[in-house]
This record gives sequence, C-alpha cells and structure tokens, in this order.
Amino acid sequence: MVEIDHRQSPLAQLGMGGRIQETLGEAGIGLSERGFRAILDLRVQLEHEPGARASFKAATGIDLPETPNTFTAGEQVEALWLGPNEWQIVVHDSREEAGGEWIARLREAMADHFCAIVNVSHAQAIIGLTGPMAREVLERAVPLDMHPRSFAPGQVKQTLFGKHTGITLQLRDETPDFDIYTRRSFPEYVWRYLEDCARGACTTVAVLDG
Amino acid sequence: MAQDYRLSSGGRIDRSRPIDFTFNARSYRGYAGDTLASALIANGVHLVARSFKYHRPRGILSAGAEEPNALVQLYDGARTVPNVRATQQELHEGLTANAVNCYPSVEFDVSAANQLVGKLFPAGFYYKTFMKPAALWPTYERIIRNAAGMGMAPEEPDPDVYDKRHAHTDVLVAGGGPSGLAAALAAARTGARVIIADEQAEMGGSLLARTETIDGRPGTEWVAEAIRELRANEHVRVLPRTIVFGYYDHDYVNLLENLTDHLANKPADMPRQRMWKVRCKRVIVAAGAIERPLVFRDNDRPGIMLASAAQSYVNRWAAKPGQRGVVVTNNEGAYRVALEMHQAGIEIPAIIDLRSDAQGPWTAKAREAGLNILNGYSITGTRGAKRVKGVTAAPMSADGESVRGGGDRFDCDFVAMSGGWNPTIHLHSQAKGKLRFDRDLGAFVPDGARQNNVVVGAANGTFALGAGLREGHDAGVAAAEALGFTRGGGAAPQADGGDYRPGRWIWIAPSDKPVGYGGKRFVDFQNDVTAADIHLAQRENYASVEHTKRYTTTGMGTDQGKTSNVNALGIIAQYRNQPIEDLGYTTYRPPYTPVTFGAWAGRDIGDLFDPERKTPMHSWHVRAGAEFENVGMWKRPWYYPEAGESMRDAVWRECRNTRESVGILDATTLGRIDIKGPDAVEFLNRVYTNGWKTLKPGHCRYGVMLKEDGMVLDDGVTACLNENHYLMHTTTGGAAAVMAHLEDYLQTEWPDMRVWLTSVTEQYATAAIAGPNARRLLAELTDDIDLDPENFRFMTFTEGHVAGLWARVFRISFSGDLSFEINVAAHNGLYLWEALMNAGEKYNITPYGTETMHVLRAEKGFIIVGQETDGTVTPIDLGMHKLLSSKKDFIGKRSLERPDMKDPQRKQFVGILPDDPNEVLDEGEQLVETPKPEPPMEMVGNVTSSYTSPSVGRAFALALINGGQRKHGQKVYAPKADGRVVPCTVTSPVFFDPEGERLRG
Repeated sequence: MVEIDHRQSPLAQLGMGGRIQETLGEAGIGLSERGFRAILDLRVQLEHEPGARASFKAATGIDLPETPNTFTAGEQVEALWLGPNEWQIVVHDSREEAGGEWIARLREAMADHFCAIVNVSHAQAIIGLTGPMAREVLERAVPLDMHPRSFAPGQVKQTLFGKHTGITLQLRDETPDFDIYTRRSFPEYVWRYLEDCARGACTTVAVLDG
Repeated sequence: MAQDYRLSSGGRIDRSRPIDFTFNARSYRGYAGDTLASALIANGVHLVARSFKYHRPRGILSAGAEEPNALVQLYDGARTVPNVRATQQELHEGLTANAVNCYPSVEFDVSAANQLVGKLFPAGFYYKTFMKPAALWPTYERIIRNAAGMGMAPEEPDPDVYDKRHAHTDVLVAGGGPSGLAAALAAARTGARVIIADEQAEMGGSLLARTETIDGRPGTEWVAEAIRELRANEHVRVLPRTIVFGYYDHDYVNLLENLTDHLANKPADMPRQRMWKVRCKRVIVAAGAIERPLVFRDNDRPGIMLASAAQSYVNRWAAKPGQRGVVVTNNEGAYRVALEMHQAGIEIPAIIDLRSDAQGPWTAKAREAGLNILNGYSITGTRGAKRVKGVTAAPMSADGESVRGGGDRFDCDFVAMSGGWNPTIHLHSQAKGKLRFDRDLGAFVPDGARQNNVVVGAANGTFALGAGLREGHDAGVAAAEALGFTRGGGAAPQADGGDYRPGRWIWIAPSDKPVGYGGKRFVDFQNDVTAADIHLAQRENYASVEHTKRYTTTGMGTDQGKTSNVNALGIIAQYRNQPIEDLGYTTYRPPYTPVTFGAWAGRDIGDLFDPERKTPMHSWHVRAGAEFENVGMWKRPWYYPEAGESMRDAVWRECRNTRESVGILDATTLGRIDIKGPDAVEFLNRVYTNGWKTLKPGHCRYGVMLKEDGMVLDDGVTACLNENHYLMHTTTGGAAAVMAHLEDYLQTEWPDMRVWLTSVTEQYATAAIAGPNARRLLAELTDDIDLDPENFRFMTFTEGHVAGLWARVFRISFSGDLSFEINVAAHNGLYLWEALMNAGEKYNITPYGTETMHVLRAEKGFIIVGQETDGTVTPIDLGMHKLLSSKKDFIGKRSLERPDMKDPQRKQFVGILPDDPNEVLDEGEQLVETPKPEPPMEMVGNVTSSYTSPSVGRAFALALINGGQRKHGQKVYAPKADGRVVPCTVTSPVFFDPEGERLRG
C-alpha cells in the first residue's frame, strides 16, 4: 500500500544537509546521520528457551551474541547484546517495509519460544562518528573508558551521554567508526553536544554523508 | 621599570622576552617564565595586599599554591577573577592585577584603623557582638562582608568556554616533582597507561629551585629527559598547568587544567580551563611538601617570607627578595637557603636558630662561610610598616619558653623563615587515608591508605632526594605490577643529599612580652588568626580542633590553612599540655585550591544545560510560531499565538475552534510500553486498580496505577492489541518512572511472570484530532477505516491507513469531544500532521497546545497526574471508587484499607466556581471556609487547576478540599495576598457535557 516514502529522518530538523563534505579533510571528527535501518528489540531468556538460539540463527544467519557488550554481524543483519535477555537486531535495509518484514520473519521463526520481538525502527536515531579524534571527543560526553584496550571493534556499550540517560555505542572498526544509537527525540542534543566536545578537544567537525 | 632586584644571570626566566604588566595601576616589567609574584619581587614590590580583618599590610609569603596573603583580582570586566594567588599566576603581556581587601588602595587603606582597635576584634567577635536581634543578622552580614573584602565576582556572564572530560588510567601520578617523575617513568616503562599532572607550567617541582644532581647530571636536565621520554610514550599523558584538586571514592580523581590563563591573547575558540574526571586504577601522590611559617611577634610584615620561597625566587626566578635578609629557623633546611642567598650576593646579617645545638652538613657549611649564626635564639620582634626594616633576637631559656634580655637588633629588608615542613597530605586525606604525627618531622605523615593510592617523596615525609626518587620509582613499578604489567627495565634514579635533620618544635617563638601583648603573632595569615585567638578559644574550652577551627576561623578561607593548620595544632597542644597526636586534625576536603564555577559547569550550560526532546512535528510547530512549554525534557507546543494575540486570547480561540469544529494536538510525547506474554493480562490486573480480564482485542480501557502507599502514580489508556499483547500509554512525564516501576516488579517481586516489557514511546508519532468535525476530517484521509460510529465505537481502536500511511487510530478522548488519536510510525509524523492540516483547512482546523489541552480536559473534570495529584492523593480522593476492583489484588490496595485513607475529611477532588466569573484563581491557592482579616486561617484545601474558557463561559477551577465530595454547593473563600477575599462555590468537577454525549457521539 505504501508507495511513496514520506519518512523524515530524526536529524532532518537540524538542517545539516548543506554542510555535508565529501571527506574528513583536516577535521578531527566526522559526524553523519546514518540512513534508515530496520531495528527490532528482542527479549528472550536463553536458558529457559535454549532452542531460540537455533531458531534465531535459522532466520538471520547469525548467532545471538552471549558475551556482554559485543555484537555479531552477518551480511545484512547485526545483533547487539543489550542485556542478559535483550538484543537489538539491526537490519541494514533502508526500505520502510523492512521493519515489518523482519518482525514477521522473526516472529514466525521464534513462534515456539516465549519472547518479545518489537519493531523500534522509528524509535531510534543513528549518528555516525568517525575520525582520528573520535575517542577523545567521546570521552567528553561519555564516562566509559574509550581507550582501544577497553573498547575494541566488535563491542557495543550502553552508557550515559552528557545528561542523556541512554545511548548505545557500537564500534565496527578501528578507523574508528562508531554508530551512536539514541532515542529518536534526543539526536539534536547528542549532535550539538558532540560539536561542543570537539571544540573542547580543540578540533573541528566535518559533516559527512551517512 | 627597572627590575632592581633581578639577578644578572641564572634562573629559569627568558631575559630576551620582557613582559609588561600592571599591578595596582602601576606598570612593571618582568620576563617570560615569571609568576606575577616573582616579577613583583624582582621589582622590589612586597606590599601586595591588606589582611582580611585588620587590614594590615601584607607581602608575598610563599612561592606556591599555599599562598595566604598575595591574593589578587585579575583582569576586569566579565573576565575578572577574584582571589588569584599571585604565586601561581604566570605572567603574560598586558596582565592586570589589583590587590584585594583594601580601599581605596593597598598603600593607604582606611580600614587599617582596625588594627589600632584590634583588641576589640578577638576570636568569635562576630558571634558575640551581632547576636541580637537575630533578625538583623542578614544586615550585619552584608556590612561585615563588605568590610572584610576579598575579591569581587564578575557581574557579567562568563565569556569563556570550559571543557570537561572523563578519562581512565592505570596509574595517575599527582605531582611532577622528582618522586612523581620517577614514579611515572617506572610505571610507563611497563606499558601501563599513565597520567602525570603538575600544577605548574614546568614540571620538576623542587628541582627547579635547587641545585641537585641526579644520575650524574643536573637535576633540571634529568627532568627534561624524563619529560621527553614520557611524552614520546603513546600511553602517557603529561599534563602541566594541571592541579589534582579532588580525590573522591572509588579512586575517582578530579583535575583542573589551565589552558589560557597564562596567555596574553586568549584564542577565541580554546577553552579557558579543562576539568578532568579521572577514574584511576592506582594513584601515586607525589605532591611534595609545604614549608611552615614560624609564629613570632609581628611575623606578618611585608618582606617576611618562607625560606623555601626566598630560595625559589633567587634560584628559579633570579629575583632577590631584598638586599639584606635575616634567616630565622628551627631546622637545618634554611641554612642551605642562607648559603645560596649569600652566594647570590645577598647579605645575611644573622641566622636566628631556635635550636640550641645545631648540627648538620649545611649548618657546617654556613659556619665555614662565616655566617653569623645565633643558636638557641628567638626572634623577639620585627620593625617596619609597609616593609620589614629589622628584627630583634634574644637568647632563649633552656626550655624555650622565655628569652633573656632585650635582644640584638638586626637591620634587614626581608626575613626568610622556616618552621619545618608539612607533607602535602591533602589528597591522601581526601581519599580517607589515615595520618600519623611524626615527632621527628614535627608533622603529619600518611599512615595507611584506604583506597588504591600510595604517597611518595616529600608528601610522604621522605625529604631526602635520593630516597624520594627511589620511593617514587618503586611505587611506579608496584602500581603497574599490581595491574598485571611486567617490569619494563630501568633502575631507580640515583641522587645524594637533600638530607633533612629534625628541628626544634617551638610553636610560638618567645619574646619579652607574653602572647596577646606587644604585637600580633599570626598563625593563619589569610584569616588574621593569632596565637592569642587560639589561646582565647582554649580558655573558652573549644577543646575540639574542629571547634577551635570554626570559632577562630583558623584553617578556613581560600587557602584552607595550608600554612597554618599544624602550627595551630601545636599551639593548642602546648596550651592544653597534650601531645599533638591526641588532638586529631581537621578534615581535608576537596578542592585543594579554588575551582571556578565555569569549570564545574563545563559545557552543560545554555542550550546544552539539559537535553531538549523534540517530536517529529517540532519543526512545524516552530514555523507556526508556537510558544513552547517544558514537559519533562520534552519541548511541547504550549499555545500558538496569532499576530497580536495574548495567551488568553490564543487559548480561547483554540478552545472555541476545537469545540465548534476541529482542533489538532501533538500527542507524540505520551509514554508507550509494549506488554507481551501469556501473563500480560494478569500483570495488568496487578499494576492497575481496575480489572482487565474482560478487555478484548481492539478495545481500550482507562487505568490508574498506584504506588505501594495507595497514592496515584500514573494513569492512561491501555489497548489490547491481541491475545497476550497490550500497549500501555503513560503520562508524558511519568513514562520513565512507570517503566522502571513495572520492570522493578517484574524482576524482583514476580520473576515467574511470563511478561516482556519494551518501551515503544518513540516508535510512534501521534496527532490527536478533536471536535465535532473530527470524523469528517479523518474520513477524507482514509479509505480503509470504517468510521461509522456504530462500528468504530468510543474506547476502541483500529488499524488502517491515514494519508497513505499505516496508522493505528484510537477513539479515545482527553478533550471531552469526539476525538481520534492517530498513531503512525514516527518518521512519518510530520507528513501525517501536514496532511491533516491541509485536509482540515476547510474546517478551520486549529492546532492547539498543552494549555488548551489542559483547559479542555478540566472542563470535563479529567485529572492530570502531577497537577491534581502530588503523591498524597488516592483514587478515592479523586472520586474514582468505581475503578477500584474488589475482585482482585493490586499494588496499593492494602494501603487503601487503612482507616485514615477512608477518613471522610481527607482532601477530595471538586470543582470551584468563583462568584465573580472573571476572577481566575491562582493555581496552588489556599482555600478557607472562615476568612479572617489576616493569617493564620484554617485552610481546607487548595486550587489544583484554574482556567477561563469559552465553553464554560467563565472562570472555573479544580481543587482538593477537605471532605469536598459532600460539600457541593457550599461556600469557600480564597484570601489573596493583597487582602481581597474571593468567594467561591464548591461544585462537581465536571463543567461541560456531563453526560458525555459529545465524546461518544
């Protein structure tokens, strides 16, 4: 039924489009708004539902990570450990229908298990943070240890950000390249806070394409 | 602008870079590398301040953070900084500073008359004199504050920006002197992450002011090489100009880094200061030691300074404190200073030594050099007004209690004194470490840490350089090894000398007059506390050191007694004839030196003070000129004024258009919780007061949830999406608290329940359309939702498409009118809103904000949690008896059974109509039944909401009144602050459409 995509991204209201640069250049960090993704919240108690592991893998091709603060990734799907019985499933598919399709697919695959699979694709904003000063800048906003010895690629962490009570940080590679997931109503605060953190670190910001 | 007191060579200043600055409106010149204090001394300026209470002329006492006297007001205008220690301020081109505590000038200060009547200002003077009447204390306080002076806070907004950051480290080294550098090197060589911070621009600590040899080369060369090595290590942060000021629980340590205070041209985009919030695995405190002044008669004249300060000025800054300096000491250290000054061409007329039998290598060298040494002598007095001119010294009795004879006079233009050394134990003590009084050192030393910290070097009472280096090195290795790093090579640096001989601890140098007579013997320079004040406190039995501190103010102020505390303890101990170790000591609290508010606030100011949450439709509201209201962290449209409209006019228009046609509200901010699982309905039954078992898919129900105490926690509508699957709505402000409340019960009380909760607050955007034309409007935007009132009934929902978007539409109403709450996926919220606005044009669709929402619901007597409730209101008080199920248990039920919960005189929810239809009561206003001309009056309740609206046609209010449900029709009165009394009538809280025909229509 949906023919035209009417979605407006959470950061569109900030109007950063005109500032987008091709490359980082001299800037210490690059900020971008990541494109749309399908995001699902999965709640299941694996020790009570041991078969859920296999069901999940059959539907997604990846394992559910059971090591705290890590994620697993397939070609299109990632599973982020959020808690002992909670994962965020991210599908790199920008189509509006993707969320609904994956809800249906996972609910069917997990139908025999006591679990909850909820579509939160629209409940989050995703900010990309990259650049040589990314860790230095994040350390101004986040009380966690950002040193590579403590926060390595493959990890995902939830923490405070300034006075915002909850963000999720995902580190994909050692560029470093962070994805910052925030609740949908907070990204302007997060974005402007990061810009101010960059000033505090005496570096500059490039706005990049997500 | 000649620097008459500058030595022609030596020192760590750059003579090729002269710097012009202004002090007390006079121009001077110094050099790069100077502090304000060293530059003033090089110019022969010692009179830099007036004291706090007596306004006595004061000079520069020290060369560091401990400075009690030389406080200056830096700069002017918005950037002015009060009470900066001249000894810590780096000189820069164009620096301007002024003395504090004086009017009109430091040279001529009218309040100096205080010292003539000093006898009238003993300890506790203010407490004793300004006791009565108590009501006048605020007036007294203002006058006292003005008289007392200290610096002035800027009145303009702070133009600077401040950085604040977190950091984590394996090892933090506090202090960049020899022990600290040795510790940092040793730890860093293992591969551990190290932060080393020092308050000064240059690391090296005591090595900068002394001629020492480490590993066979000059100490300062060793420092430079150490810094090079540390900077080259990617796991090490070297932070000069950074003071470690606070040590909190869990080895959480705060640092303040100065970035621009030393720069003449402050870069516009660079933060002025940076606050470091560091979580450490190990902390090595290498904070050095602070020399003590001696307490003798008139020991505060300008030109009387610590011997170590004189040494620093001569050696580090090539600035002579004077031409002729008397040295007064009770220990060996000052002999070295005397020798170095002698070699620098300063005349030393006498070394007055309280020790009767002085031994030691430096003493011997001083004797060899032919210096005039007076062993067993006391300094019995000083001369000079704005600069010391001379001293007298007399031989002491064997017990050190008295002197014999009138004494010998020595002319001088400065005095270098040493009363021994206090290890800088502040950080160790802030970390709750214990202290021990070391009789040999005459000082408190660390005695066991409570956290993961260790103290090394002079801060640990290890004053010999070689021993301090080894202690630092070993601590660095031990800290790293404890964290699993392995020794990285490198031996402890080697050095001789720096040996320290214990002194003779005479706490008040005797003179020919008893304490309290013939002059003042200052203990605490900053607060003008004398030995006589401390004796007075003891006579008045302030036996505890904490009481003596507060009574006399010794150890208070911006310097927190860095130079005075141990002397005060010594004097108390002597007076009470008790060992010092039995007295205890006052508590050390952060910060070590003052920290500006800007650094604490960091970037959490202005727009970033708090997160501002915005709905997907926010940009539309801004374009429409909405005024916004903060609800929780959300920015919600409050009302949408049209050109020239007042708030009242806008709200009336929004109300009227909604009731007559259709209005639209952004209801996105409501909390939403997805509840799923086979026990979901049982879960709802337990958390809500009413029953849920009969709710069928597609239907909604209003619920109230209580806390354990039976008071209303939140309310909202919950929909049954499917079997075992529900969607709960919470209030905007209550969303997070409700989620926490529910998770708490699920995880701790009912872990066996098979229910999952997921917050979906942000997944949806919601536009609520309300008014008689709401159905017609919605019909234009959907072709798959059956809007027939018989099929789409009140308190149900349906899913379909609105404006081409998937939508879940609830037929519920908070406005009391026909209303649809249209939920779409959040990214589509703006499109939905615009589609509704376009289609609604022909119905004159009116966006309304939270104010009109409040008015419309109040007309219907609908409560708002947090407005009609305040944590002390039960559903019975609100007249919601019907919502209390008797067939099941629910959270808070038992509390509602308590007799006083059923008391008919509890405050109950009612409507209020002021007799004057134009009199809008104030929210929160108290109501009485028997008005009196003035308070006190018996209050029977208070107004919770108050409005005026076109539908009611007059002012009306909601209130909580004692026994109100039985008082409909009775009179109550609102006494106003201006004396008027507004008569009102108690009514039902429903003012509009009491039968509910409109919302069901």
